[in-house]
Amino acid sequence: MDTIPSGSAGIVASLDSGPKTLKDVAEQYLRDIVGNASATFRDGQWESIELIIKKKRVLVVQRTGWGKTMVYCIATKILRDRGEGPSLMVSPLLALMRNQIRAAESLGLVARMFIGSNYNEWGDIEKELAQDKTDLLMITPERLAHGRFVRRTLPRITGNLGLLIIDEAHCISDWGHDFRPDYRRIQRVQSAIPRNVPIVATTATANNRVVEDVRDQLGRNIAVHRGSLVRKSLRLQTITMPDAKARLGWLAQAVPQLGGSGIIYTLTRKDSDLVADWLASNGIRARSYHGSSGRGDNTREELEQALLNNDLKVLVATVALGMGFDKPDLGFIIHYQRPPSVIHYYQQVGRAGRGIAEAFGLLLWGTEDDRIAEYFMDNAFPEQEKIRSILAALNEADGGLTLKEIEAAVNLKRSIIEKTLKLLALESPAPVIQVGRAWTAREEASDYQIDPEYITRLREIREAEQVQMQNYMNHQDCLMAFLQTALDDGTADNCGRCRNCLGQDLVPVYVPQSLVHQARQFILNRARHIFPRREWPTPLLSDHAIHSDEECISVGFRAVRGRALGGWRDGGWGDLVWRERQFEAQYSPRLVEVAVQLLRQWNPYPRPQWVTTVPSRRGTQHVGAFAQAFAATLKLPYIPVVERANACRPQSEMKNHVQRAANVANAFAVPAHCRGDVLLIDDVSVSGWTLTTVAALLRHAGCGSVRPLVLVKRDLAG
Amino acid sequence: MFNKLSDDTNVTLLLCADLGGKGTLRPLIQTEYIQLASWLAVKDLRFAHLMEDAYLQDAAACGLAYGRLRQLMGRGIQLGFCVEEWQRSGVWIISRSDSAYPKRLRTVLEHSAPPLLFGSGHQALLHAGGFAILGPDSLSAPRELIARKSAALAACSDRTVITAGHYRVADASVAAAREAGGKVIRVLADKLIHKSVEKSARRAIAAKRLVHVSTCSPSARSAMLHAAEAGLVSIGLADQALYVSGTGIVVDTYGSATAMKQGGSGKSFFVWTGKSKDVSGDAQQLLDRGAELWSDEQVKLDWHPLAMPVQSTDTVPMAETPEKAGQLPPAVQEHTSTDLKPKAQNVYEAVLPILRTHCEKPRSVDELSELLDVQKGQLKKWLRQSVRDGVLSKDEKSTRGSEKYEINRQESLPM
Repeated sequence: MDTIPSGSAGIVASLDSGPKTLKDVAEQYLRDIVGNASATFRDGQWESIELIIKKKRVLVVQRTGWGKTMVYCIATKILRDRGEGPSLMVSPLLALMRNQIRAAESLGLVARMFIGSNYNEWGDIEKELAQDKTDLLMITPERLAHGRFVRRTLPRITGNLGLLIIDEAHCISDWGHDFRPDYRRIQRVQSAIPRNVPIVATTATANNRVVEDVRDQLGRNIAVHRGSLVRKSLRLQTITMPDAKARLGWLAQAVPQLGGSGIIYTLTRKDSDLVADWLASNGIRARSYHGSSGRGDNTREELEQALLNNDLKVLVATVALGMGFDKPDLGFIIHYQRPPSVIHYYQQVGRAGRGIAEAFGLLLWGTEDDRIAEYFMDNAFPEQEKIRSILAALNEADGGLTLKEIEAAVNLKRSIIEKTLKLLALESPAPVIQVGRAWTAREEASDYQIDPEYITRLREIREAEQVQMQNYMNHQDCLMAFLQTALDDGTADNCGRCRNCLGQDLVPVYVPQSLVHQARQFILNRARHIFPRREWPTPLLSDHAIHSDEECISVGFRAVRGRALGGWRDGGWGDLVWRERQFEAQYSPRLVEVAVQLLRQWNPYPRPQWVTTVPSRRGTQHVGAFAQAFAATLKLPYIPVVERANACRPQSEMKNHVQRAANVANAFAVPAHCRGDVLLIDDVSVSGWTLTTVAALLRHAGCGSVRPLVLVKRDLAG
Repeated sequence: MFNKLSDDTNVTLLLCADLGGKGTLRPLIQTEYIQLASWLAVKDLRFAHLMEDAYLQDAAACGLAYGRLRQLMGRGIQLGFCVEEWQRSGVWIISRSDSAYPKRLRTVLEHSAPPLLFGSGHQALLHAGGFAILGPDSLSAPRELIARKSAALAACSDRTVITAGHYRVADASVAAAREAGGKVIRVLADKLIHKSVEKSARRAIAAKRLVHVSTCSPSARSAMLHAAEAGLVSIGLADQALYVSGTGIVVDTYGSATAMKQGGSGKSFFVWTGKSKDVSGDAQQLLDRGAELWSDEQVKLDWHPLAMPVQSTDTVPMAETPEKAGQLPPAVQEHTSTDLKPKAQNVYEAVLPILRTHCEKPRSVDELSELLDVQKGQLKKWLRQSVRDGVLSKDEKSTRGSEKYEINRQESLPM
C-alpha cells in the first residue's frame, strides 16, 4: 500500500482503494484550484499524475486550456506531501509562469520564478530553497546558460528536486534555433538525468513527427497522453488583403466591431509598432508588445496585465507574446501577416475563446510575408565564413575576448556575433565557452564546421511549413479540420462554425477607401526619434578631446534627441529619399516641405538658431542643397562648418557599432569656433555614430545644443 | 555529441561527486566509497542496482546511513544539469566501473584509486604510463630549471610527462614538455576547465598531446581540499618519477612526496637535491626509501635523449609490500630500453643528435656539408633552427660565409 502523510486537508490515502484514495486526494486538490466543489478530472489528467508520482516519465499532448497545469501542480503537491523535494519547471515564457504561479498558489504551493528580471530576488529565493520553503521553482531555458543557476542555486535546494517539468516540450524537437535555442540544452540535461527521476513534458502543439522526436529524447518508454485539438468556441476565417494600407484600414474598421479584447500578431517589431500606433491614432486602445517593449519585463508584464484587465482593446504583438498567455475571455486573434507554420498558428490562435462560447481567429496575409519568411530562414544560421572569422579571432586570443573585443576584431553585426556564439556554445562539446565575461575557444574551434545537411533539412522543413500555411489560406473546406489534420489529430471533422463551413464571412472584408487613404498618410508621416548615444563602444577611439572620457561620452559633448522623417524604404518618405538619393542630382522641394512641416510639429526647445550638415562622403550636393533650402524656408542661417578630415568607408559596410564608431572617429573636423543651438542635418543615419561624432565636435567647438534631423533612419541590427 | 553515462557511473556520481554549492550534504569520501563498493561486491551487486530504493535500504548495512544515501541519490536532476554543463565544456567522466578507467590506477593505488576521474583532452594518454615530475609548491629558479630540463628530456624520449597541480614545478614541466612537442598528463585539483582553454593547452589537446585529469568535479567548491589526490593520481599513472626537492621547510599542496612514498611500489624514483646540504625532510625520506639521486653530474653527462634514466632490474622498489616483493608490476615490465629511443617527429629532430655529435668542436657549413653528405641549403636551415632552439651556437665574430657552429655550452644546467 502506497500511502502519503497528511496533506493540507489532513487526508490519509492509499493508491489502490478505500474511501480516500490518492485519486480522491488529487481530485480534491483539483477542486481547490478551480474553485469548483464538483470538478472532476478530464480524460488523461489523473492517469498522468499517477505515473508522475510513481516516478515514471510522461508526455502530455493536449490542447490549450485542457489543464496541463493541473497535472504538474497536483503532482507537485502530492510529491511534496510525501516529503519529496520541490519541482523544477523549465518554461519558455514569463507570461506562462505568472499564470502557473496563480494555479500553484491556489493549492498552497509556494512557486517562485528565477528569471533575469528579478535578479534582486535571487538571494532570497536561494535562501528559501535552502530552507525548503519553495515547492515549485520556475526558470526559462535561457537561465541554464548562466552558470550561477547550475553552480549556485541548484545545489542550495534542500531535499533535492523531486520532479522536472518541461513545458512547451515541442521546442525540444523544434531544432530551436529560431525560437529558443537553449531547449537544445534541455534535451541533453534530461538525457543525463538518471532514469529513476520523474519527468513530465507538456505541449499543446505536436504533430506525429514532434511527438516521436520528444519520445526519442525523453526515452522510448515514456507514456504519451494525447487528446483532441479541436477548439469548439473558435471560429476561423482567412482574408486575402495583400496591401498593407488596406489591411490597416480594415483593422481600424473591424477591431471595434469585435467583441471583447484580443491580440493582433505581426511578424516583425516594426509592424507591431506601426499597427499599434495606427490603431491608437484611430481611438482604439492598442499597444505594441515585443522583445524590446519598454525596458525589462515589467513593462511587458504591465501590458499583459492591461490586456487581462480589459484596459486594452488589443495588444499588437510579435511571437514574444504567445505560449502560455492565459486570458480565458480573449475574444479574437488576428494575424496581420502569415505565421511561419501551422504549429505557430494553432498555438497563437488557440489563445482565444478558452473560457467563452465564441471567439474569432482571423488570418490576413500581405505581399511582404514571403520576403519576411525568407529573411528568417536565411538568417536562422550564421554563414560558415562568419563562424570561421569569429572562431579565428577567439583562437588567436589567450584568455578569451569579451563581446566588445570580438566586435573590434571582426567586422560583423553584434546580433550575428551573439547568435553565432550562442549557437556554438550550445554544441556539445562546444567549440566556445564563456568563462566569466570572456568567450574562449576550445580545441574543437580550429576545425569546427556547421553541419550543412542539418541546415538543408531544417530549411526544407521550414519551406514545407510555409507551403502548408499557404494551403491553409487557400483552403475551401473546414479550416479547423485543416489545422487538426495538419497536427495529426485523428479526430478531425467539419466544425460547422468557420467561414468555409458556413459559406459566408464571419467578419466583413469591405474597407472604405477613405480609411485606406488615411492609413497611407499615416505611414508617410510617421516620424522617428533619433536617440543620442551616451557611451563610446571602446575606450579612447582617438586622441581628440571628445574621446578623452574613455567609454562615457561627456555630457558636454552629447547631442540631444532628434528626429527622422522616416525609415529606409519604409513605404513612406523613406522610399522617396531612397529613390532621389539613387537617381536624382538633389532632393526635391517636396522633401524640404515635409521636413519643415515635421520641425513645426515637433517644435523643439531650445529652438535651433542655425543649420549645418554632415558633409557628404560621396561628394554629392544632396544634403548641402537640401539643408540650404530648408534653412532658407525657416529663415535660419545655413553654415557648413563641418569638414571631412580623413577618408572613411561607408557606414553601411561596417557591421557593428564598434567598427562604425571607429570608422568615423577621425573622419570629421570643425575648424571654426561656433556658438548657439544648431540643427544638424544628414540624409541617412545608419547607426548614429556619425551624428554622435559630429555633434561632439560641434559642441567641442563651442555650440550649444546639437539636434539631429535626418531624412531616413536606416536600421541595421547590431 | 552527448555521451550518455552508464547507470553505474551515474550512481557513482550521485554518491561521490561534489555537485557544487554550500549544502550540508556530504558526498561519500574515499573510505566510504570503498566500504559501499565492498558490500556490493559481497552481495554480487553493481552500483546501478542502488537506483532501486530497496537495494539502497539494504546498502545501509555497510555502515552508511540510509537517509544520507537516499539524499545523495536524490540529486538526479542536479546531476543532469551538471553533466550537461561539464560535457559541453569538453569534460569527460569515467568511473571505476568503466573500461576506460586506467588499470594502472586500480593496480597501483588499490583502495586509494579514486572512484571518479574528470578530464579534458586525450583520454588514451592515461593508459600509457609516463615520467612524473613533482615537487613542493615553491622552488628557486635553478631548481625549477631542473624540472624544465627533465621534462624536455622526457619529452624528447617520447615519454609522457606527468605533473600535479598548477604551481611552479608543474608549470615549468608542462611548458618544457610542450615546447619539445611531448605529451603531458596534468593532474589538477581545480580549474580543470580554465586550464583546458588556455591557448597553449587547447592546441596541445587538439594535437592529442595533452590530457588534464582531476578527481574532483568541475562544480566542486572545495576542490583544493582534495589537492593531495592530485599527487597520488600522478604517481598512480606514472612508471617513473622525479621529486625536485626544495630546501628547508617546504609546502607541498599536492602531497607529491607523500604520494611517492604511498604509491611507489614497483616504480623507479629519483630525487633532485642540488648541491645544497639542506635537503628537505621529504626528499631525505624518499632517499632513505631507495630513491636514486638525480645528480647534477648525471644530468650533465646524460643530457641526451638516448640517456634517459631507465628502470633497471636491480632498482629496489620503494615501500614494497612483502607479498609483492620480487614481482615487477606489468606497467614497469612493459618498458624496455628500446621503448625509450627517441622517436623523431621530423627529419630535423632526427638529424639533431648527429649535428650535436659533429659540432663538439666548431665546424663550418662546408665541413658539415661534406661530413654529412647533405646539400648546404638544407643544412643551413637545420643549423639556423638548432641555433634558435639553443642546441648549437654560432660564432658571431666570423665573417659571412665562414660561420662556425658548435654545441651550445651554455645549455648546460646551472649548478
